[in-house]
Amino acid sequence: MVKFTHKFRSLLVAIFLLGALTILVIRLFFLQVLWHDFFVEKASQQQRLTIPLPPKRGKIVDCQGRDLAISVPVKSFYAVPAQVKDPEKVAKVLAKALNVDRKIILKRFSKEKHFVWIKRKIEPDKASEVIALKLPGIYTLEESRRVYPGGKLLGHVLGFTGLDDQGLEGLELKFDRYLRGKPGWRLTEKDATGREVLTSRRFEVEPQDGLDLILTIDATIQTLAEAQLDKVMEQFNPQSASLVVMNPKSGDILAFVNRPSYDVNQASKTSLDVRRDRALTDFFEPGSTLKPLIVSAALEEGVVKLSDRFYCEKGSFSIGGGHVLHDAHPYGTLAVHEIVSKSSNIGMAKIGCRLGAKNLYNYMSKFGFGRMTGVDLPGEVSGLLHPLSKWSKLSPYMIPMGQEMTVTAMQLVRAYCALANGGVLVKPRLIRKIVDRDGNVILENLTEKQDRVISRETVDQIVEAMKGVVSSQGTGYNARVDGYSVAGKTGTAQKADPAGGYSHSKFVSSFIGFLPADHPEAVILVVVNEPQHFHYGGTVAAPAFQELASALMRYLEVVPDRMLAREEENTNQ
Amino acid sequence: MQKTAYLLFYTTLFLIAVGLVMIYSTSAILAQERFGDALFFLRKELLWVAFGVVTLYVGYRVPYEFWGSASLWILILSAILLVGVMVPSVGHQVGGARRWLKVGGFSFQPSELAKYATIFFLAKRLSSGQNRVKSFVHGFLPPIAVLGLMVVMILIQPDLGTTLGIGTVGMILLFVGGVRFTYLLGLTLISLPALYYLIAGAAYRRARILAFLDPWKDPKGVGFQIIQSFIALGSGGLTGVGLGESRQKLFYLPEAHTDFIFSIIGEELGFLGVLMVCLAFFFLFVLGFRVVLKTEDLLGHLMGLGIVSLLAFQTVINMGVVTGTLPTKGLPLPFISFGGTSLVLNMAGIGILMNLAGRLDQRRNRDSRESLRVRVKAKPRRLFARRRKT
Repeated sequence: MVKFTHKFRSLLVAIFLLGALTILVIRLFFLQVLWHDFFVEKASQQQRLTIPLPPKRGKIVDCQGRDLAISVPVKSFYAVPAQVKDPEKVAKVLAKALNVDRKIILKRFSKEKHFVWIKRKIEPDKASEVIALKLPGIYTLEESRRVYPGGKLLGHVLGFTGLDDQGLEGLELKFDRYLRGKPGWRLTEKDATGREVLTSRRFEVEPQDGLDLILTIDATIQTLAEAQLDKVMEQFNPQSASLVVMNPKSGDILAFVNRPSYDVNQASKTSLDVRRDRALTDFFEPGSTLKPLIVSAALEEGVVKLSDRFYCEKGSFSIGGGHVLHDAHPYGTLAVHEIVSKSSNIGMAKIGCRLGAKNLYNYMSKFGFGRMTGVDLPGEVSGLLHPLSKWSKLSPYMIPMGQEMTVTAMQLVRAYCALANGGVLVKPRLIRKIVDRDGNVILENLTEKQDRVISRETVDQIVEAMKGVVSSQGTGYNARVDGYSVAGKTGTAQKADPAGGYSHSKFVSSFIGFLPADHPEAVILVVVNEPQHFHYGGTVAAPAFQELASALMRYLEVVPDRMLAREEENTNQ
Repeated sequence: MQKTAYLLFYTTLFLIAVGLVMIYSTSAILAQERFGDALFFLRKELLWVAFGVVTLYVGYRVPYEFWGSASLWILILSAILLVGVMVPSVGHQVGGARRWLKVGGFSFQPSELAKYATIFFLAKRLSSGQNRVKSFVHGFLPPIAVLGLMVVMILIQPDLGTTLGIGTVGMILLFVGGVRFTYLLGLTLISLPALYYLIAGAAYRRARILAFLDPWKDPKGVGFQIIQSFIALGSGGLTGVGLGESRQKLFYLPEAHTDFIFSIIGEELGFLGVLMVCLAFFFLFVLGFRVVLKTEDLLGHLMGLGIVSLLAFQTVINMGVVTGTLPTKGLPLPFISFGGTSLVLNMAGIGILMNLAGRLDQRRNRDSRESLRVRVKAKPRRLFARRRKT
């Protein structure tokens, strides 16, 4: 029978256990009601998930709106390792489908992370095959990939982007902050394995797409120019070559080619050397192409007239200090325009002396040498124009024949634009406009007229002289264009020998000119670095100029000079 | 007291219903992910509930004296099953512990049976030997030997939570059954070094103690589970985030449908929901203790006390663990946590309590007939009526 002590002791047990339960209720009240805010904060710290929403990168189009760089949607695969049931099997399937090393995938599966990339930027139709396999723990993300429909076309100018859509070279780098856009984000929640809980999306900020870049480049002219330069590369097998086509009035760059080049779609596989934008980053001694600029300076200063005659020393002229100047062919007495057309070094040296060092320096500076052109591309160099204080007694002889100073192709084209547009220095322009997706202009790059270098009268005279270069008597006869008068100049510069002096086998051959000579539509420069077997600018560069120029005139539908002359005759009658 | 039996039944049913809802809420996503079937755990639990209704009815209808007479056989059976768990071909191992026997898709946990077997055995032994209970050799040693044997067999599975449950309930029965308090105190003091050795000897148990003392020291490691439980309860607030809306069940709180289901109740239903569950448990235990205290037969008294103490002890430990009041011990919340064996046996236990309650009526009817004179005096009914001298 149950005694009092039994009941008493049972009662103690009951009181103890029920008391403990009561204490727990009080504890729960503290945890849940009094400390609620603290734990809500803790919960949201671990559950909050901010998903970045990538913007679409802006396009790059040519002056006619043709795509040069676009972004296409692609899928990127990632894994949540904890959810992958059979890593061996899944890795095998993925390795085959996505062309990734199986061992690399397995290694990533073994990481203690909630997110590992498997492979990024897969074409949508290929990706959907893998998605259809419904592999547990394998997911995809929408990303975009940069595609350059032209392949190698304009590669150096466009540059390329990295895996995270960031600009790494060329315009992609320089205008990254416009092209990039602004990423949006979504505030949501995640489970402990890092997956988004779809029902608890809270807040979303839409991404802002990047802006589009409208270039001054014309893809058609660019294509023609690239084909020409490729031909030069094939024919003369040079180290490198550059070609620039510019509108002299606006400074618009119509074509911009460098060789060697590369396919920007596969930029990561190329060397830095190939990626270099040589027309901006490489400098050379301009050689004879500088002569018309010197002569125009001399005419402007009134120290010579086109008809003035100079004795050209029969091809050999000692200037003191053991230095002897040579001409390619021995000449007697030449008029100034003949010195230009026949490219006499000795004649130029004499003109330079008459102009004087101070004037030489001033004009070279006015033509823009020794400072950057400010074109919208990264990596430009300024070339070299020594300050007067560093000039030697021989400098006034050397500078007029394009030695003792270095220029970039872009600088040379800009200087010639001044000759072509009536004497004003323009700023080279690569970007015409920056517009948003709806076509609203965000930024317009207006032509900047810069300082006048020489007068219109001087321009008319020097253009006459330069026409002679492309005549049957001149060095640039190969550059003549049917139906159009061409003003130009050849250049054949010996390269400075690292051992001292000038090399007799390594040349920079060039031709620069504009047409139609009296109302120019385009300035074209062809520079060929170290051509093999041939080295005269008239032989190496001038034919490329000729072919490109005649195609360009047809494309731009420029009225030929002869028809123009006939029209004038008709109106005169 | 038939009313008490029904109240016991309905309160239990309420807790089971809460359990079923919360098992579905906490396990659906896990089950979907693991088995491709969101109802996997709910379906299993429903089968166990059906089986539990049967055992509850058996417990209610079979006179409790039967369990006392059969207690030795039940004890032997559960000992055999505990040994069976140790046999690799029969025992089912989960996470380094051998606790289950697998029979045709259903797993059975012999340690749950061992709890009841121990209660039955001790109740029988103590009630039939009241004259020798004060003796050290005859009253103290034999039950302690049996209790110790069961405890050791469960401890080597290992399952420290169940071990502590059986040990504590065993000690309660010895204490109430009249064993000298000094013996029990001495035993407790002697077993303290052993307990210390057990905890300090196993790295995970030591880590759990450290996590209990300062969970925030290593929130990603040993403190992870308890912090996740805190966050679940705390973010629930007064009214909860809403049924089914728990975030913590999304794999933050591992296996949230078993030992930590109470945290998710707190998160989804808030303090008010948790309070409802606590009140239901409180009411259930008050009913149970009332029946026990009214039972004049010592066998029934001890058997009932053992059952109610076991349920209350497990409830307190489970809630203590999820609220960080006690170090982490794997003990399910009775009637609510997912788990078949414990549900079926706890329902049987409720059945036995109902049987006790029903028997009180029979005796009162008999008493009232025999002593009408006393009732005429219309003494007010007292909660804990003192035994009348016969």
